[in-house]
Parts: sequence; C-alpha cells; structure tokens
Amino acid sequence: MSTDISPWGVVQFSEQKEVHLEWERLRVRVIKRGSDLLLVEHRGSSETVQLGDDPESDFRRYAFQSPVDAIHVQPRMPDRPIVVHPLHPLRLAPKAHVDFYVSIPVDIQLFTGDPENRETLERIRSEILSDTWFGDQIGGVLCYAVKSRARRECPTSESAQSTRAICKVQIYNKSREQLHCTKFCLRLNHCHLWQHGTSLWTSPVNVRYNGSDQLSAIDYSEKAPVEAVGAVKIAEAEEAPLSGLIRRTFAGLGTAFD
Amino acid sequence: MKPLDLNTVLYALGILLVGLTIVFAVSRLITRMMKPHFSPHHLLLAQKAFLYVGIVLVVCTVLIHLQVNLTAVLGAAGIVTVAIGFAAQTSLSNLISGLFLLGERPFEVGDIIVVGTTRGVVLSIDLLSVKLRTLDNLFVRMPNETLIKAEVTTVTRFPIRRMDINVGVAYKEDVKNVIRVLKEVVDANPNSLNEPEPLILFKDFGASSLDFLVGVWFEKSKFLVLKNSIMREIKERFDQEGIEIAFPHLTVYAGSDTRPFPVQVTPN
Repeated sequence: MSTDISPWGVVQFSEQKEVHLEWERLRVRVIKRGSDLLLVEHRGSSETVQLGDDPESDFRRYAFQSPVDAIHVQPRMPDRPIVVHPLHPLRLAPKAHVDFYVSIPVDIQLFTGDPENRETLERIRSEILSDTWFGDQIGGVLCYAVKSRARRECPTSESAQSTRAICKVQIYNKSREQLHCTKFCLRLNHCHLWQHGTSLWTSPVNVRYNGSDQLSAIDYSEKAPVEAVGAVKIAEAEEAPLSGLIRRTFAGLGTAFD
Repeated sequence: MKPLDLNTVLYALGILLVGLTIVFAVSRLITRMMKPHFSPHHLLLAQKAFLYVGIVLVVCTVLIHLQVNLTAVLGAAGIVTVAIGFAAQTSLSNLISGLFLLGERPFEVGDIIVVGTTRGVVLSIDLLSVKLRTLDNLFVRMPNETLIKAEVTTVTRFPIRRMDINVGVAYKEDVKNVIRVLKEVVDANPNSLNEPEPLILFKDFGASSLDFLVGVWFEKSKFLVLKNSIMREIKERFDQEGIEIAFPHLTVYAGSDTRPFPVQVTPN
C-alpha cells in the first residue's frame, strides 16, 4: 500500500495497487483493479477508510481502456461564487480602502492522463459549505456561504491549511458614503491558484465600491499576491481573469450595500 | 380553366413533397441553431410559427400550380370558417386561449405547474392544449381554455422557494430551547440557504401541541433532498435533546367532568 500523502501533483501507483490521499477533513483512497479505479471518500473522524470486497463499501468505480499508472491531484476554486460573511461587520469610511484575507475551502480535482489531455475522475469538495443566495427572491445567484474572520493581517504559513486558499480582497470605497460591509460576493472562477510553500493563494481581488446606487467594479489580477513572492501557479482560473468587471458585490439594504 | 395534365399534377406533387421536406428541415435547423441562445419555450414558438407559415405557403404554391383560384378558395374559406366557428366553439376558444397563454407566458416549457389537483412538468404549449408530464409519469392534455379560467401555480417560476414545515411539540417543552434546536438543525443543513434567513415561528397554542413553523429557503431543484434530510434531522435532533414531538391527546370523561373515569384493575 502506498502512503504517498503529497497534497498536490502526480501520485504514482507504482507496484502498489492503491494510494491514500489525506487532508485535514478529508481522506480519499484510490484502488487500482485491472483497468478500473475505485474511489472511496471519507470525511470527519480518523477511522480507516474501508474498501474491499465488502458490498456495503460506498465506492465509486471508473473504467478505463488500459490500466492507469498515476493520478493527478489539483486544487480548484469552488464551482460557485462565494458569499463571505465577516464575523465582525466593517464600516468603511468614504475614500478609504481596506485589505482582507479570506480563507476559502478549495475543491480537489482528481484526473488521469497529462494536464493537456486530462480525464477528470472526480471533483471533491474539501468542505461541505452551506448554500446561500445572493440577490432577492426573484433573481440572484446560488452561492456557497463562508463565514470568515476576514483578517486584516497577512496569515502566516504556519496557520495555513492544505485545503484552504487565502484570497486577498482589497476594497476601495470610491463613494462619498460610508460602506457598511456585512457580506460580499466573490466570483472566484476568475482567480488563478498559487502554491507558496505549504500555503495556497488565489489571485488578489480588487473591489471598487461606487455607491449604493452603482454597481461595484472588480479586478481579478493575473499575478500572485505580493505576500506570496515566488509562488508557483498550481491551477489556472476556470474563466479568464477580468479587469473592470461590473458586478453587484455588496448586498443587503437597498440594492448594493448593507 | 384548362384541364390538368399528368405533368402538372406530378409537378405539383413534387412541389408539395420537396416544399414540405424543406420546411421541416429548415424548421429543425432553426431549432438547432437557436437552442444555445433561447429557452425551450421560445424555441417551440419559433419552430411552430415557421412550420405553420411554411406549410401554408407550400400548400398555396401547390394550389396555384393546380390552377386553383385562391381568391375563390379564400372567400369560400371565410364562409367555411364561420360555419366551423359555430360548430367548433370549444376548439376556437382553446385556440384563442392558447394565443393568450403564449402572449402572457404564465409558464414556460420545462416549468412545473399546478392546476387544480394536477401537478406536472410542461412538455409543450400548443395552440389547443398544454401537454404535461405529471411527477408520477402520466401524460396529461390540458385544454388551453381550462388554463385561462383556472388558477395556475408555477412552482418553478422563481429560482428559490421556501419550504414550510409544521412542527408540534409537547406543552411541557421549553419554547426557547425548541427554537434554538430548530435553528441549529436548519443552519447545519447544507441545502438550506443561509440567505434569505430561515423563518422559525412559534405559531400557535394547538389543541395538543405547541405549534412551530420552520420556513427553510432552498434552491428550487433541491426540494426532495432538503425535504428528506431536514425532516430526518429534526426528528433525530429532537430525540437527542429529549424534546417530545406531540401527538393528539384525547381525554374522555364519563359523567361529571370533575370525576375521574373509573378504571378497575382486575387480577389475571
């Protein structure tokens, strides 16, 4: 049995017939049976991930034309926008700006083949996030809810979790009114993912708040944040990063802010 | 009018066959081209509009080649229409209702609607009727006139819905504790939306229970998964917390309401 616990990258089966992948709250066991792969996912407690001939085992099976030698493990941003609820709401003065560091649980994508010709096995959510709605009862977008401390200080690498990416959000209040920020919506499919030591970072997001009767302008950077100098790009954005995207970002009272 | 020769008839038949083939092919092509950009409802409308207009044009062309005087035909058609109008009032009513339905768009193809006791997915909106597939897979043809007259609920019109669950607990339970537990159960369910906030209401002093209403918002496609999970979770959590789910209590008095019902215990 292989005990390769490398969080990201290529995991070889070699002569062993199975690999174990382990993160903080999730363990995955992939077993090779001929040209089939069996996958068992386990969350929560540290019980052994069971699989065998037991028909009760809850595994998923993938059939390939020829035996698979390796699987690739890659972090991805969640497949929906994220609504971040800072634990402590913030009031941002006119013309002021603030930097937040938000920790976002990533998805884990397992695929075979080379990165250009990949066959996705599974996209697993590292944490089961609650659904939330950004908009009113008639129109809006389905999102995941993330409660965050929305730290003002850059987190240290010691506090990093392997399945969470740090997203630096810079909010500029360009309006002449105070911005009461109780939650904001991030469309992270425009962000690249970067690996810096043991930490994951997303491309920084800049939000310009233009007032309660205006939409916010959002820039998704192409580069790694300055806090992660020398970081390696580990996953491309699923949609091209955009500059000056006009979207509703803050919600609550009225149409654009709370 | 000259007598028709075989060539003219064959030519007209050829126009009919080729014309109808082209109409059906182009109608299908238009549907395929529009599919990525338009809703199924609009696709159906465009396809039917093109089909009907195309068929009429082909038939008119064939009639012209057969040297039929269209003016006379149209005049006769007017008279026939009046006659048919009297004979087929219901069909005409459905036809006109269908036009209103298409204009008003209270629902679209793919929506789930409720009309009276019928609940189903809209398969098509035609000129005379709307076709539904019920949730237990029955085919229902509903005349347009019925839909115009009846109250129609479009279940899937808005992207999110609220599921109302009535929960009754015994009178001995602590109301604050019940509200706390219900809130925790709803918050922990990943399919319940955080926003809009769930509604937890102490609704009533019931006959046998304290009645609570739990209103949980969810994305419209998650009805079944939420319903199954949250009902189970409420029951499990109430069992853990020792909260008694109430059931109807009935006290039977014999004679005076101040005297207890006589019960006699006899040995075996």
